[in-house]
Amino acid sequence: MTRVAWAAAVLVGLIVVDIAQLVNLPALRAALVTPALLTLPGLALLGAGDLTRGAEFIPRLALRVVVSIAVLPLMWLSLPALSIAITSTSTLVVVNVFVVFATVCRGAFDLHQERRPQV
Amino acid sequence: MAPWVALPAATVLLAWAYSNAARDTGDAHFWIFWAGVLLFVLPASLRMLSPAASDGERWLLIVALGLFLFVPKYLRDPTLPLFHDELAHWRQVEEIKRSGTLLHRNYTIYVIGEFPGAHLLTAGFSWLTGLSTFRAAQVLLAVLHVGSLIGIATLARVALRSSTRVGAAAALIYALNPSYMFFHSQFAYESVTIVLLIWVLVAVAKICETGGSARWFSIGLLLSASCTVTHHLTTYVLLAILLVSFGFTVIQHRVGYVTRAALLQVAGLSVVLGLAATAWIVLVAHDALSYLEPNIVGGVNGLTGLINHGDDNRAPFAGSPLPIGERVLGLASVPLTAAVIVLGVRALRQSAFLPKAPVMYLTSWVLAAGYFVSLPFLLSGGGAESAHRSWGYSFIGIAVTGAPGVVDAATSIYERASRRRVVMAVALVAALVTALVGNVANGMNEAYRFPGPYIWGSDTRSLSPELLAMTNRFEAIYGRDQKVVADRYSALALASFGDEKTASPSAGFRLWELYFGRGPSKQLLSQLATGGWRFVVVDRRMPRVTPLRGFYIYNLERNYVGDARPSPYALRQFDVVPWARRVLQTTNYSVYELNRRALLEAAR
Repeated sequence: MTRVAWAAAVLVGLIVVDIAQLVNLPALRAALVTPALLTLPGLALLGAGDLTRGAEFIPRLALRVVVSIAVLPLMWLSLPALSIAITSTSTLVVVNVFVVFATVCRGAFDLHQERRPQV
Repeated sequence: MAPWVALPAATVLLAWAYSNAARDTGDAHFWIFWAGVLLFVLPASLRMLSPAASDGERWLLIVALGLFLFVPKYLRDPTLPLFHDELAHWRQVEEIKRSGTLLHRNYTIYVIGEFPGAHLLTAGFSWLTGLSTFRAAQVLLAVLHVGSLIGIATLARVALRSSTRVGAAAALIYALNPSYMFFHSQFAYESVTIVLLIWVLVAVAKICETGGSARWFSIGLLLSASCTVTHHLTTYVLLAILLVSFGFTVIQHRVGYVTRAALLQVAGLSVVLGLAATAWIVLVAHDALSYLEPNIVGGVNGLTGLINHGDDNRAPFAGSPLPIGERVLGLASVPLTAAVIVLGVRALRQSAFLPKAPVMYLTSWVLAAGYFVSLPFLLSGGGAESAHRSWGYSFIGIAVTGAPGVVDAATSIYERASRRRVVMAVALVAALVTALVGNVANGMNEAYRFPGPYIWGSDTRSLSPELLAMTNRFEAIYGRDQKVVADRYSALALASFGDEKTASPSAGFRLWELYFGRGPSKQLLSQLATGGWRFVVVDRRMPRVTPLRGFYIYNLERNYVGDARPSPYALRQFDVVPWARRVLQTTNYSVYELNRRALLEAAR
């Protein structure tokens, strides 16, 4: 997966999470948000470079899901530390800020690695 | 194809088993249950171990196995939390959603408020998906259940520098551990952190394999940090495992098998986790050590007493209503576990030992040894619970060390002459059945595993419609946050569904005196008055029943009252003493309001 496709996929996923908050059909909302929420933070942090390689797709996806599950409570823990109440809105905002920030940082890091002269 | 064809039929059999258990008092549900479980697990296991399966198919089977073994727990309580720990954690999430703040005291398990990771995860997930708290928890648990098996397969592959087939064998062994089907499927903080722990070990194995990796070091740090804020025991076990790994890394660095960068990263992970865990205890989790201490000390004292005087002993499966077949396989699963490890060592030969063996493989040895160390604790009343809880960790080691042997045994089925092949196939199937049935029997009692008739003192089957109705009525009349004294099983419902502040008995707060012997001491009456305790719940059945879990009010009450039951005299006193007034009555429960002034007068 190219860097642009990965960044686009992450940001589209994030938009899906945001728009789904307006959906009044509980099953549809859960079906849209669950996969996105459980993969986006991990995808943003780790990138998607090695996800498309055949049989290794499942363990690599699992790693991203586990990283997402680890990072979600850590990012939400920042709310009381900043004296902000933990609500549905504040948790959504934190997810947005984190995923966008992590995607930008990851993209910049990968770009830097690519442009570094090979020894 | 066989496992995929069997999967729907196996799931239907499980649903039938649970439906039958709820209606019928016989043993039929056990047979239907195991027929359903084995119908999928046996063909799936054989396919995972077959040399003909592709790596992609093996990974899919691991995912299917993880999801399938989550089904029994899902069917046990599909709509509401039921297990003791689930009730406490569910209440904690509800508190976060209600108040928007953290660190609420929990009146069922007081320490869990100080480890909010799992609660925060569930609350946020519930909000954003629109699912109820318990439904959100179930989705997360199903994902985590699969994540642990994929983690174990990855760990075995990296630790043993081996194939996906060996990884699948490790995942299979881990899926058979006593905690996997029910304990780590319940909504509790350790169900989250066990998966984080497994993946931190994957990170360590990757660091050692690659000679140091900034990517895996960062992943290890992140997962460790999440573990620290989520569960005390897993954090300390992880720290101990990292220190052991570091010890092996030092040895291997000296003989040139591990790079300096890898050594520094393993050391860095250990140091950071140690500092984070200490900081969390100092700044937030002030009760963590005092919560763990009685379990550890109780276990050691129980074992010491057992060795020195033969007291505090309990026979395996004593008084268990489990069918004899499950109990026999439960005992047989212990030597079988040892045999699996021996087979694993035999398969690796010289490369199973220092200095050649990889760091995480050597660490797995230490973890596997933990299983056998835990077994004597099962015989002591105080240590059995701790022993049970250790198996989720020790089976990580057993899975990694035993996997090569299981693959070797499976290979012989496909390679040898036909007669020998049949014998080996029968032996492998017998071993799988023994491990699966025996370990589940060792891990969880019947009242937790199946629905059925009311059982006093069983946690799960004590949550009767009458108790829930009494709880709802009490909350409707008096509201939430009332300070209530009750037996352990009524307190569970009152603290979780009723959101009341239930009392925690201890050596210094002897609440059982209200229900036993000649009634409460003056000291207890004074404590009730000064502590602002406003209500007492009395279950009228107590003098006639023996609790399944062995205690009425406090898990160590036998140290004070011996084998006595609550006395009818003590229960009758509530209707005659001036400090109590009956305010609510159902068929079996009486609720009394305490009069503070009268309590103080009686205490003089």
